[in-house]
Amino acid sequence: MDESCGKCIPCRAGTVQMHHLLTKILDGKATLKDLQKLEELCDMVKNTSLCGLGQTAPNPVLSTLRFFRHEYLELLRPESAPAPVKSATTPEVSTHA
Amino acid sequence: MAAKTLTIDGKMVGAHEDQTILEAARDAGIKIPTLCHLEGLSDLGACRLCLVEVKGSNRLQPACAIKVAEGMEVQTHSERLQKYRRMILELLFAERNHVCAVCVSNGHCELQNLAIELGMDHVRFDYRFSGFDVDITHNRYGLDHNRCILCTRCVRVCNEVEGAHTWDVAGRGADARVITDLKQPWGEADSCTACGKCVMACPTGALFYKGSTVAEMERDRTRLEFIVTAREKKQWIV
Ligand code: SF4
Ligand code: SF4
Ligand code: SF4
Ligand code: FES
Repeated sequence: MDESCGKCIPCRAGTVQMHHLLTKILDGKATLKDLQKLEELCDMVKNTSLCGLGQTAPNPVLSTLRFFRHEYLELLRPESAPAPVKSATTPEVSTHA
Repeated sequence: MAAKTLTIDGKMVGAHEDQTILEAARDAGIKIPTLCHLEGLSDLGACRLCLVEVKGSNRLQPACAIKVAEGMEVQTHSERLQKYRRMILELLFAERNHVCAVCVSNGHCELQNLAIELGMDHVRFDYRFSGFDVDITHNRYGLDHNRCILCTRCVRVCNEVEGAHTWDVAGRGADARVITDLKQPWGEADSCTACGKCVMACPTGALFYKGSTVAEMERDRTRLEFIVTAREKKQWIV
């Protein structure tokens, strides 16, 4: 996270929170709410950042969420994951999940 | 000076060609939220709170930095924009330490006011708990980095109005911080004339008069406007 120059807020603070949420998911500490937050944040950072860095930084997260959503869901805290985990055959783009 | 006609939130508005969307909206009585903008200083479009939807453009545009154009159709308060604005505020509150209850600016803070105005009543992101220093080496003013939102109003007012250029931004991303001169303590920054303009321009409790305690830090922005009008329009009458 050394790339943001820090001039605009969505990129400066948004990428930090994105990284934090992703780490939380990888550590198995995240809930479905965190996943929704991550999606909302990515949408916001993409659409409000000042330059191309912030506007594209969320892309890898958004595309993995689209194509490998099941992997994210599998990493959520067991009590918060939706009961039967959906397969990856239907890509979903909704930002509200 | 040519006039332009545009619509803002469905309202027909006339504006001078060199006005920004923000100025045209303000003249029409439409308030767009801002943080980095300060009347009389150059605009840089950093806080992104003033983003508006302009028909025909697929990107959101900063109202403070974009000039009006003939036939422009602008939306300033769509649900999507309000949601983004609240989220930007949440990011700011989570980024450093904003404990309003013990802050010099409590009750007079532009960040706090915007949170109230836009209905940002809780922060969903985890707080980062910045552990930056507080610089109280200047004999009249203090700086608490933990309340700074990096709007650079201090940088611009000191450079553009006072002409001292004491402030700058050092570091990048989350580590970015405002510095005085070559990063020495403010009290040792020789270029500072102790005019206090940066303190008057700061929207938060980051810059304050020494000796002010909780909620005592009120700013006199009319003095700042007075100086700018005097310089730009050569008018000394208030
Ligand atoms: S700077 Fe404003 S938002 Fe931050 S703690 Fe002080 S009053 Fe609250
Ligand atoms: S007091 Fe005046 S000269 Fe000193 S840093 Fe602030 S604006 Fe610049
Ligand atoms: S010290 Fe105040 S005016 Fe300067 S960048 Fe920080 S918040 Fe803005
Ligand atoms: S006021 Fe326009 S981007 Fe900050």
